[in-house]
Amino acid sequence: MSDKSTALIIDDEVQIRRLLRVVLEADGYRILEADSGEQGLSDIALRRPDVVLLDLGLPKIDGLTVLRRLREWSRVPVLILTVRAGAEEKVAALDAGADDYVTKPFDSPELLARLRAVQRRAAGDKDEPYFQAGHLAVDFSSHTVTVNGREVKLTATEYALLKIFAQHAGKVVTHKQLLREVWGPNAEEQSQYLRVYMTHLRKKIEIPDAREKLLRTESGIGYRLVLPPGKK
Amino acid sequence: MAESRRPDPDALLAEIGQDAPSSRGRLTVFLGMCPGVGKTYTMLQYARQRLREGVSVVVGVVETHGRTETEALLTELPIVPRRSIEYKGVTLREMDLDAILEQRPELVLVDELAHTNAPGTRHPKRYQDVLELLDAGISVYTTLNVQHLESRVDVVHQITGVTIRETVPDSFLDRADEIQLVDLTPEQLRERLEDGKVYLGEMAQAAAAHFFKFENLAALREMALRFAAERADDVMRGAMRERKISGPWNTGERLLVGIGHDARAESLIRWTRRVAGELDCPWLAVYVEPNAPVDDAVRDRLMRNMSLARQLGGDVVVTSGQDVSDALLRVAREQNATQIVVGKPTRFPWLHWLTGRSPAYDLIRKSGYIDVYVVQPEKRTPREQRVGGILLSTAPPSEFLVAGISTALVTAAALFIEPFIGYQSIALVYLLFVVAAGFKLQRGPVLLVAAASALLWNFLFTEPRFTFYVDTFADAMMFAMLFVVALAMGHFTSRLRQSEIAERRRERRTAALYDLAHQAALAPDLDTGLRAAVKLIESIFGAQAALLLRLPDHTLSDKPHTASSLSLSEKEKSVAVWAFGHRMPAGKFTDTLPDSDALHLPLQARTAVMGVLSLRPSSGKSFDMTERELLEAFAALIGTILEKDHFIEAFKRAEIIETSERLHRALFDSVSHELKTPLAAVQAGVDALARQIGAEEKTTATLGEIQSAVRRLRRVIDNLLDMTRIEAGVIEPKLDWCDIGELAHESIALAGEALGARAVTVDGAENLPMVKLDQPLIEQALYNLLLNAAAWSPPESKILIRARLDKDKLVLSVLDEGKGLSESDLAHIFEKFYRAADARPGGTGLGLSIVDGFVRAHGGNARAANRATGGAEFTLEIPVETMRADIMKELA
Repeated sequence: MSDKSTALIIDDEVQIRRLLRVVLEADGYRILEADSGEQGLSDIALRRPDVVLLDLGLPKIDGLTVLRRLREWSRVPVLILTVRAGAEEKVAALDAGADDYVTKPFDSPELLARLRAVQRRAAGDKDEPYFQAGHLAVDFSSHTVTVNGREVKLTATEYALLKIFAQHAGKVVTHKQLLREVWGPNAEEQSQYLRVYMTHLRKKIEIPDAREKLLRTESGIGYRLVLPPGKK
Repeated sequence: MAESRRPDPDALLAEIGQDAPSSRGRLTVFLGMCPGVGKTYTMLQYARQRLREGVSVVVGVVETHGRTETEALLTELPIVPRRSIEYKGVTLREMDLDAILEQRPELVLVDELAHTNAPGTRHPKRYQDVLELLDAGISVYTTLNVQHLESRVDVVHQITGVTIRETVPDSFLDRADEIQLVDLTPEQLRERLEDGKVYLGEMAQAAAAHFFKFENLAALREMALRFAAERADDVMRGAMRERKISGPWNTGERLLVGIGHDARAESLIRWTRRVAGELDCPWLAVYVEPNAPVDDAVRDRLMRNMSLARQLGGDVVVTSGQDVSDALLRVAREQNATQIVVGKPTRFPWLHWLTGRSPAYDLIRKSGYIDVYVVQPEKRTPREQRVGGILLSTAPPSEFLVAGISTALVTAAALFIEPFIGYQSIALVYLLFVVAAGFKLQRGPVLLVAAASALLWNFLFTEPRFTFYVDTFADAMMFAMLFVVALAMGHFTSRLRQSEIAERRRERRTAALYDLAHQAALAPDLDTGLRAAVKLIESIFGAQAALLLRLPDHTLSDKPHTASSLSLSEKEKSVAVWAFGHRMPAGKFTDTLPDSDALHLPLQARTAVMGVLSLRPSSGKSFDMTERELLEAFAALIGTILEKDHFIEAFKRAEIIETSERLHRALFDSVSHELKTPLAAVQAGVDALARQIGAEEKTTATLGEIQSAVRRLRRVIDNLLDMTRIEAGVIEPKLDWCDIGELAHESIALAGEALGARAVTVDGAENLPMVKLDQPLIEQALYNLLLNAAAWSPPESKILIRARLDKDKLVLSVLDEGKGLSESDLAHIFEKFYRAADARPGGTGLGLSIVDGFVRAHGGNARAANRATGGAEFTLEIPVETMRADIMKELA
C-alpha cells in the first residue's frame, strides 16, 4: 500500500521501539527504527519518513540537539517522547520546532491521535473553509462561529485565537506561538493578554457544565483544542 | 555662534530629573532685608492656608518674640515641643528634629534659618536640620534675613559695620524651590520700629539704632530685592530653556580662585562666589600646598578657608607644586576654568619688584587664553607672623645651639691656622663651613652661621683687626660674598629639605596604603585582614579604631568587629548608624554631631556602604588634611576588601546551590527514566495486546486490571518524584498570570475518571482578577485535593471548589461530603507518608504532603478542617499579585 505513512522511531530503549512498532503497525504505519540520534538523523535524510517519534533522553547527542539539527533542513512532523512531567523541557522542544509531545508512559490511543494531528497539520489542511469539532463549528469564509447551531459573536482577537486552534486541531499550541501570531513578535512575554482573552473565548464557545472541555490547558505550555474521539 | 546658543543638554536633563516625582520635600524661604519686616507673620499666614487645604502642618520652631499678632496666628497650628538641652548650667531649647522625623508631617515651619544650635544637638546649624528634613521628604517653610547669607556678609559689614556670625551658605538657598520676598519700605519699617513692633534681640540699643539707619535699610533692602531678582532670573532662564527660547544661556564660564592659608583668602572666596553668582557659573577654590610643612595654626585657618568655599557652593581642589602660578594654571586647564582670581600681593612688594617674580605677575604672563583677575583682598585680621618669624620659626632651638657651637669651633680652628694660610683664605674656610652647614641645618640656623661667619671674619681677621671696619675693596667684596653665598645656600638647602620632607610624607602615605593592601587585602581570611587594618590605623594615626560591619539584611551591626580596639557607647553607635545611613562622615571633626568622641567614616565600596570605621584620636590630637585624606582612602580600601569578601561568599553559596541542583537533576532524570521506561513498555504492551486479542470479555477485564495497576503505579512514581523535588528544596515557582477558573477546570479534567459520578462545582472563580502563580504546581495541588476528596466521599456526593481573594492572598478550598477527619488526621494529614487509620489500600500518603510542599514553595500554607455540615474542607492560602482592575478592563 503506497499510501501507508512511514514513521521513524528514535529511542535507545529496544523494548519501547519494539512495542511502539506493534502499536503503530496495527494502526497501518510502516516503521523505521533508530537507536541513536546520529542514526536517526541519517535515516531522516536518506529514508524520508512521514513522521518522527523522538525520545528526548537519548545518550550521546540528546533529543533536543537532534531536533535542532533536524530543523535546519527538514520540516518533517516530530512527536516528542519524554519521561519528564514538567513543562520546561517540553516548552524547549516545542520552541525548537517539535510539533507535539507525549509523556511516558502513554496511552496508545492518545499517542495515535497526536500522531494523526501532527501529520494533518503538516499536510497543510488544504485551506478547508469549514471546521467542526463537537458542538463547535467555524465557517472561515463567512467568519461565523456557531455553538450547538447558535451563532456566537466573537471579537477580532477572539476569532484570531480560535482560528489558530482550529488550524492546529488536536495539537498543542504554545503561549509564545499564540502571542506572536495574534499580538505580534514583540508581545511574546505579555502572557496577561492571552489569559484574559482565553477566558473570554472560553465563556463564548464552551458548554458551561460539560466536564470535558474543548479547549484544554496544558499547564505552563499552552493550549490544545481537543478533537472528540472518533474524528480522524 | 549657533552652537553656544543651544540649550545645554546636561542642563535639560537635570531639569527633566527635577520634573520626575521626587521624594524630597519642597523648601520655601521667606526672605527679608532685616528683622521686623514680618517674615514669621507671613510664613504663618501661608501655613494656615496650607492647613485649611488639608496639608498636615506642624510648627518645628517659631519665635514670636512676644508679638501678639504673630502669637494669635500660631494658635491653630500643632506644635512639636522643643527639646531641652543642658549646656554649662543653662537650659537651651532647640527644635526636636527626631520627633518631627518620627511624626512625618507634610510641612514643617522652621523659623530663623541662620540659628546656631546648642552644642550636643545633631548638627551645629539649624539649616543642616532643615536639609535632613528635606531629605526625609518633608517640606519646610523657613525665614531668613538677607544679611545672614554667607556671600553677603562682607558687604553687610561694609555697609553697617556689624559683623554677622550666624550665616547660611548660599548653596543652601540654591536648593530652595521657592523664595518669598517679604518687603517693606525703610519708612514703614522705621514706623514699626517706633511703634515698638520690632524685636531687637540682644543687639545693643546703640548698635540697633545704627543698624536701622535709613541708608543702611535702603542698602539692605536693595540687597534683598537684588537677591530675589537674581533668583527670579534663574527661574526665568529655566523656563526659557524649557521652551527653547534663545537667550542668555549659561556662559560656560568657570571661575577658579587661588587661596592661601591666610585670612585674606576669605574675602577672595566671597568675591569669587559673588561674581560666579552673577555669571551663573560654577567655581572652585584651589589651594597649592607648599612643600614645606605648615604648623597647626596655619592649617586651621586653611581648613576654615576651604570649608567656607565649600559652604558657598564651590569645589575645593588641593594640589601641590613648588611654583604657585604653574600649579594654578595646571588645575585651571584640568578643570576647564576660564577665569582665575588671585589676590594682590601684599607681602614684601619690594621683593617682587626686585626679582620681577610675583605669583600674580607670573600668572598673567603664562595664562594664555585664561583671564586673570587680580583682586585687592579686604584685610580683616592683622597678619600674625612677622618676617623673622617665618624665617626662624620652623627650626628647633637645638639647631641654633649647634650653629653657635660649630661656628665657635671653626673660628677657633681658623685662628690657629691663620698664620699658615693667610686671612683671605680663612674667608674661604668660612665659606666652606657655611655650605656644609647648609646641608645639615635649616634655613634659620644657616643664616645665623652665615652672619656670624661674615662678622667674625671681619672682626677677627681683616685689617684693622678687632673692628668691623673694612679697609680694602677686596675685603669688602669678600664680606659681601660670604653673606650672599650663605643666604643662597640657606635658601636652596631649606627648599631641598622641604621637598624632601614633602616627598617623604607622600611616600609614607603610599607605603601606608600599600601596607594596608598587602596585609589586609591579601590576608588568608577576613578577620585576620581586618585585625591587620585596625593595627595599622592605630600605629599610623595614633587612634583607637572600631569597625562596625554591614549585616546580611543591609543594616549596621550593633557589635563592633572583634578586631576593634575601641568600644563604642550607645551614643557613638547611633552616630555610626547616621554615617552609615547617610553615606557621610559624622562625629568629631565633622558637621554632624561634632561633639562626639569619635570620627565615623562610612566604608564606601563600589556598590554599597559595607560598614563604618570609627576612630577615637588620642586626646588633643586632630587629623590634618593629609591624614583625613589618608583615612578616607583607608576607609574606601577596607570597604572594597569587605565587598570583595562579600562577593566571594555569595559566589561560593551560588556555586554550592548550583552543584546540588545539578546533582539532584541528574539523579532525578535517571530515576525518572529507569522507573518510567519499563512502565511505558508495560502500558504499550497492554494496549497492543488489547488490539491483538480483540473484544473478548474475560481478557478485556484482565487487561483492564493491568491498566489500572499501571495507572496507580504511575501516580505513585509521580508522587515520589514530586516529593523528592520538594525535599531537595529545588522548587522555584515560575510565576505567570493565571485565570483561577481555568486552573480549577483543568484540574477537574485531569482528575477525570477518578472522580466517578461525583459532581464538582467551582464557586467564586468567575469574578476573580488574574493572579500570578505557578500554574502547573497549583493545578497539581488542586488535582491532588480532588483525588483525595474523591477517595473519601460517597460515589454520588458533591465536591465544591471555592475560590476567593483575601487582600493579597488567594484562598482555594476543596469541600467534600465524606465523613470528615479525625483529631489525629487534622494534626498529621499533611505529613509525609501519613495515612489515616481507615484509609483504603492504594494510597502512598504523599498526595497531601505534595500539596503542602507546592503551596509552601509559593510562601503560602495548607490547612484541613471539618465542615459544620459534615465532610472535610481543605484550604490553600497563597500570597499572590493580582492584575489591576483597570488593566483587566482595558484588555477586555
